[in-house]
Amino acid sequence: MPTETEVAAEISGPAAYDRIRTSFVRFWSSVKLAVVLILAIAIASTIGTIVPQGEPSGVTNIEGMSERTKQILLSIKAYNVYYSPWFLSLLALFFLNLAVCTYVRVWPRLQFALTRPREIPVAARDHMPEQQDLSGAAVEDVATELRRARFRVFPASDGGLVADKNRVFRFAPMVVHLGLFLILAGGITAGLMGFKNSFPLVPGEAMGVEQAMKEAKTRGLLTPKPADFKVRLDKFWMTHYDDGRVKQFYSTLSVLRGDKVAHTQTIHVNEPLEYEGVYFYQSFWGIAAQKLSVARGIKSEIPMNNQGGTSIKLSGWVTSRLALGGRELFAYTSGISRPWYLLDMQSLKSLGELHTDEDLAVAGHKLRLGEVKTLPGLGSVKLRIGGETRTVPVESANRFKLSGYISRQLKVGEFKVFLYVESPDAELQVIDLDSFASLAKVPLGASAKVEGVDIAFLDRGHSAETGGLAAVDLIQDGERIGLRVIDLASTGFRVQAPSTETTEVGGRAVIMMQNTEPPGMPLWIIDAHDATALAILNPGESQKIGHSTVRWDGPIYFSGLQTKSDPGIPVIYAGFFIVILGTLMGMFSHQQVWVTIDANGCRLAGKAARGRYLFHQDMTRLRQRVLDASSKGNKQWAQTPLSSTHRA
Amino acid sequence: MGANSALEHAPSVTTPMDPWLVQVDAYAVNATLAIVAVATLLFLAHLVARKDVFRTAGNFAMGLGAVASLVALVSRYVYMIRIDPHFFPMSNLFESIMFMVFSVLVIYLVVERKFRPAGFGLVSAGLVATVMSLASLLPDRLRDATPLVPALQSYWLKIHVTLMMISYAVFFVSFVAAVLYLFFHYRDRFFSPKAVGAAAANTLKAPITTLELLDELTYRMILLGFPLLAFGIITGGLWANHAWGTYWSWDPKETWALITWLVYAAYLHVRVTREWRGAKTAWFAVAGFISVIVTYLGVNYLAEGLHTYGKLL
Repeated sequence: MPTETEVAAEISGPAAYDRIRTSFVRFWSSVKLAVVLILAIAIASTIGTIVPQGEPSGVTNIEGMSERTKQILLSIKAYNVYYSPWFLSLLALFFLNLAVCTYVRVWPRLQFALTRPREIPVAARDHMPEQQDLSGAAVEDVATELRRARFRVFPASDGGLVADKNRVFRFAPMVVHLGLFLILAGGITAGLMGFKNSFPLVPGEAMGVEQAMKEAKTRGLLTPKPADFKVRLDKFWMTHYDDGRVKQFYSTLSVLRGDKVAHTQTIHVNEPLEYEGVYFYQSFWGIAAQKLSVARGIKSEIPMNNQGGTSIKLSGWVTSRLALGGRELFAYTSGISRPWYLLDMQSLKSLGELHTDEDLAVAGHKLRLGEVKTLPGLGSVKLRIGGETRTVPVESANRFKLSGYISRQLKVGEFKVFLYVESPDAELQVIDLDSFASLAKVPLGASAKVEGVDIAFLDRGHSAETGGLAAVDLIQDGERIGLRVIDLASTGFRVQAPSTETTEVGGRAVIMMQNTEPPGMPLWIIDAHDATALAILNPGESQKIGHSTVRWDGPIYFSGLQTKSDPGIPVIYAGFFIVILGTLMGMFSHQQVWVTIDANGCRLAGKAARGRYLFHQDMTRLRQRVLDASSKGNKQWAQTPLSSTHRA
Repeated sequence: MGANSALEHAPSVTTPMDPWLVQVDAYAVNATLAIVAVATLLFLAHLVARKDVFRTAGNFAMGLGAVASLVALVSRYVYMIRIDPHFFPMSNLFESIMFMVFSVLVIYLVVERKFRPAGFGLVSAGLVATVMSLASLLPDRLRDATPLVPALQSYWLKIHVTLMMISYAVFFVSFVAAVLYLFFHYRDRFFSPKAVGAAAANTLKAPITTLELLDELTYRMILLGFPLLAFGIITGGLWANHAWGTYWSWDPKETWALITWLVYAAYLHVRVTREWRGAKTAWFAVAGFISVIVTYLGVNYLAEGLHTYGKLL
């Protein structure tokens, strides 16, 4: 195939050659450059799939990466790659390359397409990749078969034929490039003239479009002012599958102009509302507030303001796990005389409260709370320091927001220290008073050296008060099951869920948390000071908190809407369509054929743009058909069987 | 515990189904693996014994395999639509693999009929058998048919996912052709360099060599896959715009699909420049298919996005 420069020179003359020769054009019309730029964009795009996009914390939070690498990533804006200046510049260079390539090639190609297929010298035909011997064939039969194969056939000056097929598909790349430019134009239009925002609505609440546009994070410089209307949520509901998972969620929206309802529509995921060029999509949902009733029927709605979730390290005690009905369960309590809750280990769903006097039905079994064994509290510890035996009193460390026990300061050698015990049966820790560094950990009956001074932990002295929980019995179907109890102070048990702010209930400061998935999650009411869960309620259940009895009446849901306006859409959609058209066009091959007449009959030479093999199969079939047609024709005149002449 | 969003994939739960069709589905899946494994053996026999009957038998087995995989898909569809009228047998990793295997087998039969490249049956059957074996090791939660989450309840699902899977199947075949090309290329280079030199001296009108055939087949497959992939990406964008107002959000899967498209675009442009012919373009085709694998499977391990459906861990 002749190169573009040769074609241009032949068709347009030296002027075109000069144009191409200009080095700027020559560089920017290079296909090799295009390959380099395409691959560069591809590789650059991979960055955004590995580094979480959005905030710089996406880079800084990556584990196991050196600080230097992180600094490099931050400087190239790896957390927002696709809108970073260097990536956009790369795209700009690509489109420049695309524009120059297309400009240089489109005119010669048009001229090539609009003129007749060229005749080429016989010598050149011998070098064509496809050759067929059509001895004994009449040129008219060849012409007929070529036309039947949908070739455009023209007589050649030497009496033969020149034909081609699928010429228009040579434009496939141009079409694709045009489509890409439309997509670019559409994208720029969207960026300049569109906006996007999302917001929650509770039933009855309305949002004005103008306000949504003003508050939008993505808004173009030339975005036109939208029409003056509001969208109000009338109703929100969800449907569920049999196993409780959400099937679909729906919102009934009313469009308000002034005070009048202009339009009402129910939307759900994948079915948006469109009004005056602005779209509203059902995008997400959540819990807006919790409904509580206190004694004397006082109802309140506590808003769930922390949708992102609060994380609390829970205090209290949990039991070891209990396997029941195919699930793993455990029990939790916030204090020694506080209620016990039975929870699912995986989902943290509450199966109810455990009582000593009534049964809780779980998976066909009956569970009851048995004996709760406490640890005696710690009143003092007996030590031998140096050679001297001493009894050191300890008190509860609660007022320092720690669990366990703590002593007053002691002198060990030159050091001022104090003693700390995490729980009544834990080892003794010797802690430096100034630096709070742990100087030694001494189990009961052992000893350790602190700066040359020998400290031996001899004995514990118990106090009258209880120190904590040791074990608890559950009674399952009449049988006693002993469970160990673990103080949450010594393990990290974090709960995280959307929550309220700290509010006052029954005189205590609490935070309420509820998760939305899996369905049917309980409401956790957690003491804001000591992080114990005072209540884990299923809807309708009550619990005494502080001086009130509180009943949870369930959540109030909000509907999450996404709104946007995008005038670039028609342009982009046109671009999409044209790109697909162009890529489909690329599947078809431009085929060229030259038929020469010689002494024996005809000879066919040709080539195809997309490869030899299938073209060869087509031409072989064509040859067979030509020879069949010619032999039928020849039968009429074959008086002398040895003759293989034909009409010219 | 965690945040909620319409876009998160809910945990999979097995729902009660018609037991007879479940059996048919299971048998059909196992049959596909067995038949394709047998096809591989038949093609191996053909390689060793050089008797045409083995190749014909192998092709027949591939046809049977296509039927078996189709039965698996159809039976799954029939028993699930009673539970969820929106259901489409491509809602998890396993189902999409079954569909891809079906498509690959169909394309194989068409290509085998038209091109008959050397070694095509052996490599195709071998790779498909490998894919089916790995698929059978998938954990239940990625295999069980599950009702669709709200975001997937749309007719767009059928169009978008089908187009993407068919394009993957087409690129799979292009990968087979490219691999065969590289095999023959390096074999000729290392074992009979003199013959290679002689072949290069032939004029263009010499008979078509195996290498040329495989090169053209790779090219043709990519020419077919390219618009399918473009259409798949675009329908994804159209669906996203319809569902939540954004046709492109640089989600890892979207981005990798685009990267794949760009790599194949580079392949097509490289063929235009004269200098990179032969093995280099075949390697490009291989790189493109690696990109397909990352797009299909790899993105589930990368940064979280809309598309993390099939995490194996």
